[in-house]
Amino acid sequence: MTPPERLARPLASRLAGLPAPMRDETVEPIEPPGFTDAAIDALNKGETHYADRPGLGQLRNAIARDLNTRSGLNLTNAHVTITCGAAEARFLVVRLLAKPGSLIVCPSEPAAAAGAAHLAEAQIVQETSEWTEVSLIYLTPACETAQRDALLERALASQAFIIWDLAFAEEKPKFNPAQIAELSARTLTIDELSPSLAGWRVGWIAGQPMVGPLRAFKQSMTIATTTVSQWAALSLFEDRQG
Amino acid sequence: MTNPNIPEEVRAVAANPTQLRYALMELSATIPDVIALGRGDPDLDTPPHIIAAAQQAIREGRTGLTPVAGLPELREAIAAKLRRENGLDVDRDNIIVTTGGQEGVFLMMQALLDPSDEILVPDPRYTSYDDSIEKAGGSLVMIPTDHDDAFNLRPEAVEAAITAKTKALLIVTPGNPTSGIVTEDRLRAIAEIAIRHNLIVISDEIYEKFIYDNWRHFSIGSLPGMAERTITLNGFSKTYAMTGFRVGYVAAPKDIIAAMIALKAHTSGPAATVSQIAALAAITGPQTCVDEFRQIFTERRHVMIEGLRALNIDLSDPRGAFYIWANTTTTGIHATELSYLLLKEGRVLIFPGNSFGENWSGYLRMSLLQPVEVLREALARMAPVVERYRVKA
Repeated sequence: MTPPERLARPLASRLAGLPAPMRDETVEPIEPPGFTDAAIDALNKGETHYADRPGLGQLRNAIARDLNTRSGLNLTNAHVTITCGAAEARFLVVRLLAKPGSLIVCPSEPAAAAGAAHLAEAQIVQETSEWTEVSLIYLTPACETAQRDALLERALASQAFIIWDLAFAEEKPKFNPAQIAELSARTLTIDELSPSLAGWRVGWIAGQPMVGPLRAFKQSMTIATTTVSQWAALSLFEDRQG
Repeated sequence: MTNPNIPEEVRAVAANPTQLRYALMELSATIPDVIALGRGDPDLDTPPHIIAAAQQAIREGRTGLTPVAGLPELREAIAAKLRRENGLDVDRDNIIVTTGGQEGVFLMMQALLDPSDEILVPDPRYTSYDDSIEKAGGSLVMIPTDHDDAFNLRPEAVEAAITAKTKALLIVTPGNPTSGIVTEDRLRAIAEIAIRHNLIVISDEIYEKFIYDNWRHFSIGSLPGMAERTITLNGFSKTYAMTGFRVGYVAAPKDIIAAMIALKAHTSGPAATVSQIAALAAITGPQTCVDEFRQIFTERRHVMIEGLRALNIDLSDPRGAFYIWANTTTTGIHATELSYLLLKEGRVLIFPGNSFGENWSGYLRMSLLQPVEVLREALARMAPVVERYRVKA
């Protein structure tokens, strides 16, 4: 048996059924002037070494403040972890929270979490009656309000975690499942920089649950997110928050 | 660990080597004027031509998303480097650019290991390997290495650890935390074993540029019959002092690379574009900066070796990387406790040996990533702590 033959089984089992990634089209990069200046300035200041594992404190502060302002949440920088784009955020939360063999209810844009679900050996369904098998409810703003509310109603009676993935929403909604008091400790919000800034690879996970394990998992994958990208990202929030 | 004053945040994670290192780093951030000899993040400035390339790319708007496998021209440049310097028979399709070297480990374990597969790993080890192996469902089997052998890997120890479940062997040369190297004669013998037992060999060569005295680096993937079974891991962080850019790479047979690309699309996407352009400048630009870094580490290594021996602390022969792996058993203090005391009372952050494997509670790992005068100050701070707590016979 040659080395490639020895590899055939794990490669085949992990790759079979792995969907093509979403959004592999090329989006023209468009950086606001402040963004570009912040990146160049950070490099001039020698910001070329590891950032803190969970991400720059200032950026995490800004993200928490942004979510709090928009959705009336009560997050701090301790609830935010910076990731290498939404792709890493999705993989981390799904792999950590979805038990192998469990169901992920994802009524809209299921492709967003399909790859991560496949690698976590969980199954994405758009609806289910088997609520004891559900480990995650994966929602995006594209989900119809009535359907979303019905799922969150079911979530109240289950132990499922809720993922609120904002990365594909051009307009970020005020609504956030974490506004529901009983769900705030089970909700994680995912987002990233806009598609025109995708090459900078900055995303984030924000929410109360599983912060320590998420950060440890992130550390074991990519250690930290690119430092200069984080400084540039911070400028966007500073512009917005004045 | 007997000291009752060790805080709960350290005690609670003492059994998890990786978390123990992070707990100590977080604790050190609360203590003023700490000399950090912990994390492997070079204190040296990233060379200016690398910074300039990144800034030029930003100004020109060359920042859009790259293919998941990496910028084609960077993959070409990496392949050329591996052919030229390491003797590997590779081209662009044998290369994936990763978001730091650590992601390379994570992806290759995901691609390689089935549940119950065993992978042989030299002990002591950088325990992030453990995390990646565990997350892929594999089992880590430790191969002992010895102080008296400068932590070189012994072929007979490798062969003795092979079972029917063994799929792969990890080699780390130069090594972290030991700074040992696996010498060419041993690598040739290990290659024969790998071929005989049909093993995949993972060769982590992240520290290849930092080798001292008359020792030299050798890539096992260059040996006959090894190209088809060798996965070589390397990166830019350590060599060019650019840890924050997060760029590493893996060279492997094309089917393995294809699998890693497919996985990476869903685990993190491509590395940041500006980082890849900086990496391209690093690998294609002048290499005098690397020679200068090696000279700096050579001087620091000399200072630390002399200083630690004056404290009656035994050292193996650190032949590469930028760490000192010090045998502190003569102090009679468990490494976690000694590390904590050195931090709390000496204001020096040093990682305990057991954060690199449970068998190493009589060792400390010190990085050489501070200027010489700071290293001398660290030694001066360590001396009274070691003497105060040394268990007298």
